[in-house]
Amino acid sequence: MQEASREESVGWRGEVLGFVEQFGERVEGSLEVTHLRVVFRATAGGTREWLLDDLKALQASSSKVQLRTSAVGLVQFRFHDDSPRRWESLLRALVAERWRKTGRGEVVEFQPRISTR
Amino acid sequence: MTPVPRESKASLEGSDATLAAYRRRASPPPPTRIYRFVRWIARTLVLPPLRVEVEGAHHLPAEGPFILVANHQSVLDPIVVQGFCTRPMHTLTKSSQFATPPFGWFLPRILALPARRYRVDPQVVRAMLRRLSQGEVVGIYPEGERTWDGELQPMRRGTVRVLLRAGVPVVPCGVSGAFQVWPRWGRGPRKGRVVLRFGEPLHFGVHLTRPRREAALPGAMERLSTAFRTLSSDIRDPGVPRGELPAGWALSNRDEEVVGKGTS
Repeated sequence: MQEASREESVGWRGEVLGFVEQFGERVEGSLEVTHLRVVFRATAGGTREWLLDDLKALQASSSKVQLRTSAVGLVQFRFHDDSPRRWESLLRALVAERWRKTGRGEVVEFQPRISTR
Repeated sequence: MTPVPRESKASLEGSDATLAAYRRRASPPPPTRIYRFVRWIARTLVLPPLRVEVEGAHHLPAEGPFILVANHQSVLDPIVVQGFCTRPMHTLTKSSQFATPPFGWFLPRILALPARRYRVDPQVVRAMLRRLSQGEVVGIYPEGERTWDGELQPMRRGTVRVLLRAGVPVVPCGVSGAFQVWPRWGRGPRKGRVVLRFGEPLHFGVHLTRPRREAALPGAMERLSTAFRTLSSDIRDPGVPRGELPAGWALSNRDEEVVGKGTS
């Protein structure tokens, strides 16, 4: 698991082209997903959790799955023994189900932000 | 350097007027030496083993701004499309590619623009509209990511909104065969044939207000999907949003039951 610690600007010829996220240290651990939350338990101790209700975006990026919440920002997971697509599909199904259950509508897009119709 | 002057909004409700406004602006900076060198390397060393076939290159406008949109099958697509686009092209690239120092230095020099895919990114839209205002070419993969299974994915609605905002010709490019040569889950390229098929430019008009863009959005998305399905022989079905559950996992009725577990 890695969390984005900051965003840096990308400039060229005196112009800001855009921004790029910079990730902090990689933390090993296990990930559990329920119908309400995503829980990461670090091998070295400590737990982090993200409520599905708080997710703003969800996507697979290369071999990682990335989540964004308004409070924490961007978090990414790289799986040792599984496919990012499987996890992305699972999380998408859970988010879509949660949004539906809570009356927020049918999710039509998961990136760049979760949006409904 | 602003893309379209706000005071002339009323007079720009048409592609021709927008193009004229764009053409009056400063001439574009020449492509860098590194861009030309990389393009030469791609065309002479990297692409010949792939047996790339190009069709419809005459549809690429020789002058003036346009947006080239392509379906995204493989990591090879930017090399192939940029290698065979007849004009220097600024390509929207996911921002994480710029995160390491060598690529952070190299990518702007081959005209890549960093797009944050995990949030709405107004900065890259500004950079892109600025390029168009200088009469240049911008390349976008409107699916937003490489396909996992070779099929067309849904167009990103925000990307299509930008196409509607820009009001310049949109040239669709169908990529076929790249998924078989190097799929997203593959460890490296295999021998094969890649076909690039450029289509006739699409004109969506210019939609400067949000209500106008929202009204035009479904039609524009449908036209793009149809263009990709026509131009790429690999695409079997129109894209549908992924929401299905992967094999081996099942949802339950209990909120706190663990439905997925793994090591990260």
